[in-house]
Amino acid sequence: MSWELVEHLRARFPEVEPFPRGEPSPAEEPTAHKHDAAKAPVHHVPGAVVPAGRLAEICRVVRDEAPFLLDYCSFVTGVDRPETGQIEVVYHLFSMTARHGLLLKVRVPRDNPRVPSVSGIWSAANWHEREAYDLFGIAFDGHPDLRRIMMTDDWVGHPLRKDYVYEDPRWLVDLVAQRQREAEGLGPGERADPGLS
Amino acid sequence: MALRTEELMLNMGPQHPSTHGVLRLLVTLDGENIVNARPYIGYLHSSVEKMMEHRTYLQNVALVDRGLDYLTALANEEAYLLAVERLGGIEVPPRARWIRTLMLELQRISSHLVWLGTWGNDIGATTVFLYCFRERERLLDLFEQATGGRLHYVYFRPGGVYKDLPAGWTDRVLEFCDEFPGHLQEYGELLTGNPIFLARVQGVGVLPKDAAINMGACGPVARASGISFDVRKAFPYEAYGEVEFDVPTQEAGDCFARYLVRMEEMRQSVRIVRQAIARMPDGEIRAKVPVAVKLPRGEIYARTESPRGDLGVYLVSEGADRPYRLKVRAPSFANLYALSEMMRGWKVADIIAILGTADIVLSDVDR
Repeated sequence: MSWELVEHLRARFPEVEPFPRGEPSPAEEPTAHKHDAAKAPVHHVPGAVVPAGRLAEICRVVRDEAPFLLDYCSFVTGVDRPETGQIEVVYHLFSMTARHGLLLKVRVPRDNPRVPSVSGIWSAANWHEREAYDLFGIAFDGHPDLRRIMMTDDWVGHPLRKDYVYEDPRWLVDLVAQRQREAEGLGPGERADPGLS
Repeated sequence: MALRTEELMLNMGPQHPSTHGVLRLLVTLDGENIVNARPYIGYLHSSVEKMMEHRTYLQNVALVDRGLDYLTALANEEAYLLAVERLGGIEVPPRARWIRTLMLELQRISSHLVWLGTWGNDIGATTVFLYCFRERERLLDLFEQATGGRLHYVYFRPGGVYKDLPAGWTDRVLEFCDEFPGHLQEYGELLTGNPIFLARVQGVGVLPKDAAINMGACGPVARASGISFDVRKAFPYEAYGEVEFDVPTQEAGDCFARYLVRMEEMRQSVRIVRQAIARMPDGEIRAKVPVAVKLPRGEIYARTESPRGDLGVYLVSEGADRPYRLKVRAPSFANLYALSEMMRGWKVADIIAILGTADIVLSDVDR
């Protein structure tokens, strides 16, 4: 759709790293069960990896200057990659006038994920950054109101990180096990305790 | 001696009949004027995105039904499956594409009817609520006959739809299409013929075009502010590239403009439904896709136009039978953020009228 846009971006900022385009998989492949995990990922969205230090500057340019004119921020989110020790901060930008989109990615260390906030550039990023802060623990420097948005203020941990595991409380595990035992040997529609409706 | 005045903090929700879910608004008032309205969300957060990382691509169809916007289950299925199918290179047979288009538009009508009815109810027009739910009931019956479900359908599957339409079903849909524009006329007259309704919505809650873009507003809210953007037209999916329909746009950006846009969208949906029934080919309804479908490594962002706006799914696959990461770009989340801008400067009595026209569903906001 707009891979030319990525070329323009690289011409302007040589340090950005465009996504490898790769070859889209042929139609019969999903039925073949043969996916090579070592194969390079296919990027269906045009975009580039951007150094964290240049993010604010690049964002200002892609919003204001032709040919980008990306005046709309669709979302900001994160992808946790424990195997590389990094978190990818993902920005999807779109132009309401030119009708093209661009995905920007910033790679930051997992133990101290920190990027400049773009909420001053696109107001829409405000809540999306709060969500990424809440669920991934990414700190957005310069954000006007960086609080948790989904979880309660006293929540511990960041649920969308890969090493965050939710465990049911003991009483719930026991209750489920007990119900399971009660239900064993019953036919369809039969109840362990007929008194309960 | 000058009178001392001070600002008043008014807490609305999280349990309040007109927030349609668990939304808390903290409103700062100067007398009757709204200085600021800050939404607090997360009461319905269920971490659907985390759950989806642990379920297979097929199981996730059932999850997006209820985990996201519960009034537009089919639109959620569509956005999710579009990402899965495009990433996997799965070709949906033509008949299934047309069935999906037809279903999505019926879903749009049923969702807009809930919006119109509840919004009417909020601002004192109870009759409209009863009428809208009468027509919606017919649509739910139609959904039930075709899919087996009334709200959570699990009807779209990777590569097509679950089963073909029952015999005679399209005739009943056409019957509905014949009657429905008359009903719309009736609702319109009930509301716009009422000076109290007009006084409460005309010129109220204006969202300027620049602010709408900057704050990420989408769907009917953005179109009422003069942004003529509809994903169905800009990036057609399913059969939308082949049907004729208009994208209603208004310039005013007030509550009345948002009302007009949604009313016209329902008329356009009827138009699309008629074309879908007339042009739907016979043939396969589902491509051969294994139950434990695996997707190649890669990432994709699929956008659709749900009744509430720009619903997107950003999917990252690492070659497994389940997503590595799946982000839902929820339209209600974006529109709720723009709400504070719509409310600033209006009266406390306008809160309900303005909130209603944002048409948010809290399970979509919180996910």
